[in-house]
Amino acid sequence: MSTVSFILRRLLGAVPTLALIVALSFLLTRMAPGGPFDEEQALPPAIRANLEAAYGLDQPVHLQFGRYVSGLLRGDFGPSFKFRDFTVSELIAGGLPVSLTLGLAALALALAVGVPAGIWAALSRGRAADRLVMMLAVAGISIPVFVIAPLLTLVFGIWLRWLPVAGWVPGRPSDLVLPVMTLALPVVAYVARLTRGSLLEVLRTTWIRAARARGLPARTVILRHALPAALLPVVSYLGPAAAAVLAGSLVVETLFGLPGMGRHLVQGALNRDYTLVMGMVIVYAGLMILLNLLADLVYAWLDPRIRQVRRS
Amino acid sequence: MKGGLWRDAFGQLRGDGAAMTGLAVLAFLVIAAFAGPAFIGFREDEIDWSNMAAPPFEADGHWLGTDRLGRDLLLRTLLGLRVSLAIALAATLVSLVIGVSWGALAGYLRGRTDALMMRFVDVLYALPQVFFVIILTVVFGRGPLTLLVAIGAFGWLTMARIVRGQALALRERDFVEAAVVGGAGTMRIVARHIVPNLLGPVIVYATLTVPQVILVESFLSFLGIGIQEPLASLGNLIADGASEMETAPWMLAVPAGCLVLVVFAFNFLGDGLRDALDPRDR
Repeated sequence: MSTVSFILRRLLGAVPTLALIVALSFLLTRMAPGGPFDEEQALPPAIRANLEAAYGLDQPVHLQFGRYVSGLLRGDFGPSFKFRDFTVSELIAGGLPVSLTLGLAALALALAVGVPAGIWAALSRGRAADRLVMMLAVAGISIPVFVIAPLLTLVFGIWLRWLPVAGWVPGRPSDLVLPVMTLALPVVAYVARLTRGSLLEVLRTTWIRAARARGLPARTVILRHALPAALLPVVSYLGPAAAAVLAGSLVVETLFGLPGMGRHLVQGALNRDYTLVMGMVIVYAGLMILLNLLADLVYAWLDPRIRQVRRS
Repeated sequence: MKGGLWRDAFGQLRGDGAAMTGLAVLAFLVIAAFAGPAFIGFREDEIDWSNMAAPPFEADGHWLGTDRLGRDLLLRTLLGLRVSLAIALAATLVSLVIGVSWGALAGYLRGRTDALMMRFVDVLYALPQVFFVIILTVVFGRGPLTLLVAIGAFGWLTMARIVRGQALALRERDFVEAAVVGGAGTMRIVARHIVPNLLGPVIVYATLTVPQVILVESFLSFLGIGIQEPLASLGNLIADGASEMETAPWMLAVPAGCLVLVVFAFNFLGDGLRDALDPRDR
């Protein structure tokens, strides 16, 4: 099976999941007792009827669903009920680059710090360095993003004044430092723990002993022979890690005032802006499916057993 | 045999320093959350006009200070902890009941029923859970009950998987066969013979679920889509504190510290229970 057909098959496999997500979120939002036009002041019935007609809310549910799906296929997520001047697609187009930059930078940082920290801990097993890394890892896993974010802001933004507390100017990377650090920290902790554990396990295998017996230098044994195998659990964790980072970006974008999708989702949830919430959830779900696929590809590339099966 | 397992487990747990510390901290926090507020000389919504945003230990009677409305912070944190704990325990119980019955039935029945039931679990697993919980809170309004249902609706999936695996193995055992020969029906066998024998992993996993639920609940309350003011929860107290941290850092520190403590304690206890109740790792 070639890589291309592997990717195609996985993408096709994601279609039912995505369809289910669309159908479920649509049905759930239509079940809601309140509507998007329930304001503090009740609207006059005539205006309300006109609004509902304009958004197609007066039609039977199955027609509404058909219209929504056919719009989706053309990349149209419908109008936002609360941001009257924008369509949901426009809000997504504006927010997606921000959220994506944030999420990918956080994942990259997490791997760049977590993997070396895990290797270091594994190689100095039982000594002070190992204990230090593992203690920090437990802390990083147990402290939630919404506590880390204000703490980092307090230290780096308010006390030390090194970094901006919040805000977003396109092209100013210092705005991204605190949000990315916040998002990355829990993932760093988990990656470090996974790397340490699996590297220790791999180092006990016979093929590593064989590599050592052949007289290869320790560096080669660890980096070329042990590490690719030890990274497999880390790669499997990338899917859940992506989910965690995306969920964390809701907090980070709200707290640091970044104009990403997460902030729109939270705002939409507070405003009961159904189309906005649905659109954001569908895009987030799609992102997670893509990242999982990416993780699977890396996994297959790292694991010689899968690679060989695919070649033959 | 069974008494032996439980006695062994209890013995091992008592020797586990981290787990016992976790248990002690938890016991303290639970008692403080449910009995403590009665001993604090303020009411939940009582505004102390002379002590607004007072730091800890400085204002009379307000041990951990007050918030910007002059409400006692210790009292609000304890009440928030009570709400968080109550939701977490209830949601864990919901997922426990659904997950155990679903998993035990699937594992015991095997075959097509099992495949169908677990396929359903797989499909729900593929959904982005936090986002669906958000949709559910949008649909059913924000509040404790919605949170409970929304979190419980997804919480049972992992439990069902774990229990099914155990049930598949258990159903091959002689005592199950004896029960079948004895004429017991499916429901009776599952309820009386399968479920009691998989309590170990269930207890371990439930203990590790509680902190997860606390985190999800606080996460949503922090964003403003969970528990709403004036009801306190650790999440919305932390959100409050985060907005005031420049001038009143204790408003962040007290609820955040409480949350981290509770999550740590549950995780340590859960890890200890796993070591004690899961003989494979011993």
